[in-house]
Amino acid sequence: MLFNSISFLIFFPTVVVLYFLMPQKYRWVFLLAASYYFYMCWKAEYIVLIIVSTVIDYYAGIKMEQAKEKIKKRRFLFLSLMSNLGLLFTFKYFNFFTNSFESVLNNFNIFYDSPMFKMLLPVGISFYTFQTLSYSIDVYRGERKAERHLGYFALYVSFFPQLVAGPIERSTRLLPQFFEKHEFDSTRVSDGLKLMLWGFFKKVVIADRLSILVNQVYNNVEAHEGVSLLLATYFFAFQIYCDFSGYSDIAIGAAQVMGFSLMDNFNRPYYAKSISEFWKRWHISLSTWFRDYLYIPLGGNRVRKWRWYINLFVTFLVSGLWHGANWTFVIWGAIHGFYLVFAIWTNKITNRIYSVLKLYQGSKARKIVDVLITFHLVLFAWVFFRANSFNDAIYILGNIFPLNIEEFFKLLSSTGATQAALGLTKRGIILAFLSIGFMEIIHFFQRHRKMRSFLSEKPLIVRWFVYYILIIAIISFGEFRMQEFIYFQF
Amino acid sequence: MKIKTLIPFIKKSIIFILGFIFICFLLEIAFNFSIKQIDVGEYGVLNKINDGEINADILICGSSRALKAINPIAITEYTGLSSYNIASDGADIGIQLPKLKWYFEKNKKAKIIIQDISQFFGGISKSVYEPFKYIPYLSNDSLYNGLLRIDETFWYHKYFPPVNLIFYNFDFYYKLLSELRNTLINKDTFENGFLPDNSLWSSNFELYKKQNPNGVESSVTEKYKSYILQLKNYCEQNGVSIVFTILPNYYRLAELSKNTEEIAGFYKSLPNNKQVFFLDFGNCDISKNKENFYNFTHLNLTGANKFTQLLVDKLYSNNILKK
Repeated sequence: MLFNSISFLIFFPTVVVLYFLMPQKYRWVFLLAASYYFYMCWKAEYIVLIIVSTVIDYYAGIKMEQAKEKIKKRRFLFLSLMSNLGLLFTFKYFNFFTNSFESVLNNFNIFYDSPMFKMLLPVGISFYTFQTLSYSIDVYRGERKAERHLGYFALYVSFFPQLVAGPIERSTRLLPQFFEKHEFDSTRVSDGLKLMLWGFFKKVVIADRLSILVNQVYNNVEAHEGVSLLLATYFFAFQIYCDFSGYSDIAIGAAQVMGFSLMDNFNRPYYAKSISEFWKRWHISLSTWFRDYLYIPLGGNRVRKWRWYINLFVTFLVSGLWHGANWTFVIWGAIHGFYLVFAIWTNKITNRIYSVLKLYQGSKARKIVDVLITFHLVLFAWVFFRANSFNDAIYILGNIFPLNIEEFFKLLSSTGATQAALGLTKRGIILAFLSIGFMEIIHFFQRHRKMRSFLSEKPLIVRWFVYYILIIAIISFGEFRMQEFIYFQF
Repeated sequence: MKIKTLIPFIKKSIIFILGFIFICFLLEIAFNFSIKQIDVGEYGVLNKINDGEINADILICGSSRALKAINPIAITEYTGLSSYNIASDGADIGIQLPKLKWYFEKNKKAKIIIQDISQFFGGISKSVYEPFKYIPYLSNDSLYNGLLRIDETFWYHKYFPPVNLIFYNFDFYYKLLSELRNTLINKDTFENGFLPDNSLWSSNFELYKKQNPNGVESSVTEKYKSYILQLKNYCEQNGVSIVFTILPNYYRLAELSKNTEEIAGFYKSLPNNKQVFFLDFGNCDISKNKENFYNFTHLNLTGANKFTQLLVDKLYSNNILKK
């Protein structure tokens, strides 16, 4: 079930009302059933994977806690890792690895038909497997007690607001919330609804509109050049941000309505002044996951410098692979790894250049330059992330310049059959820019204070006026083609 | 959980939703009122149809291609007969009959209908393109029933106006505001419903070719044929001559078009009682020169002037019009 669907508009209020009307002791059963139903609306049989993952991790967690010897603990951790990563490998990476292996052999004139696993990728598999993995690792490390209640644990794995695209919650944060009694709190409910509304705006007004042009260009790159490629790349940066942060806002808002608090997943990432800051602001639940369960166990930065570089690089390579079974994602991860290593490596030189240019630390000019540089580095990497193949990415990078503005304006002003050339009309592009601009004004405003808390102090009539305007904007300017969220595929 | 704690919130939510529906109704009334004041542009044409102010002898119907290609003022100059163009952007064959019925109910019946049949895009959409164009006129049963036939969910536009808000998109607001402004300053870009376009060629044919490597096939489906037959029969019943017309295409489209002959064959095979005609300008001389087009399916003003002259000549030479 998609958040941006009519079914969700019926499902969610029904769940919320029944949830609050239900006695506390039955709420977990109801939420679990609702979560399973939510997932099964997409492909019912894949619920088995969630149940298998749940049961194995539940069992492994208890066994790890009971085990006196480290080797036994390790054995159960291994069981959890193998089952979760095994599921991931089978459904997400099997074809990728066998195809890559086949290509390598072909290069040596060895021809081999690799077996293909013709199955749909289960939605959200990377999210819920990582969530359960974090639980197992935490129990293994003794950072939390094993959960004895299978029902609550199953709900932790499958809680519907964050099941298919995160935020990837830690058990220490989310699990205890299922034991708490959540009273109906109209302020909290209305806060959650506001956040959901904002998420819908980002998804259907911005992301889905931008996706029309981005898909048109990126799915047929050789038909485009210059400004079209550049515009599609800029648009993709905002599309993926609005799509994913929009999803996160809806997820966090939906959970908040029911009294649960999920972690923030985005914090104005395109205002980051460095790549390392970008990763503290982008998909925070995943980057902290990799920090805690991969980067730090590898030694983090408390090792020799060369090893530190390798740790950073490996973490981002794996992060790239987590996003998708394609070399373009691996390259995207590698680029980010390289950025971080390069930034550490050239730190002194960069500071010297800045001081020659009189761009002093903390000055506004320095901040602007840093933000712009970081944004464009991220943008460069997005090309590999979005391109359908490595060759497409290279084509795009090689054909953005010369910009050929004249040809672009011709394309823009053409009508009829050639409207499809860019997917969006001139007015559609103007609306895309206006809605991005509106979002950025809100972002700017939210530097110090959340819009929701600002609004909550205003009289009811002002608040409702703003909500009505936002709803009308979503309805009138939204793209209602039931586009899936990009991160569903990961 | 006691239900009592929920009740104030539910009450507030209901008031909020009712308030929203009320605003939607108000907006609907405001939009419809504003649209009815417009007497220029596309809404101007639709208002004139609805108010029975057209009453032309030669009526031009079709999509944006006819809208940009056939100049009724020039037709009047050449023939002495009144003429009007009621073609509109994005109008496929499904909308033609309901629109014509609506027109005939409100206006004097035309003598001749020039019906553009958009050779290159002959498919029938399952939804109405820019439904907001027709919303103010849904009280006309012929139009409404025709629209309902295209899209069976169209009833909610008439009976549950808040839903219309979904269809009032950026294009609608742009059209509404610009046509209201033009009404106020008395500026009309339309000339008897014809929308001249002075643009020069700005199309990228190679790009289109790349995007359609396997060529383009028009859908001459049974449904399409049935729409055409109904249109033909309706004109015959009303004693009106109908001229199915293929407008000039930029000549290189022939490289991509896969079933031009099939389409022409269908129109030639239509049963005829001397009131149904078929004129094919798809590959006429105008087609061979880029200067006549602004893209490969739409004529610019230069092309439109040449084409209108050619069309009138053909109407005479085929005895559709008599001197």
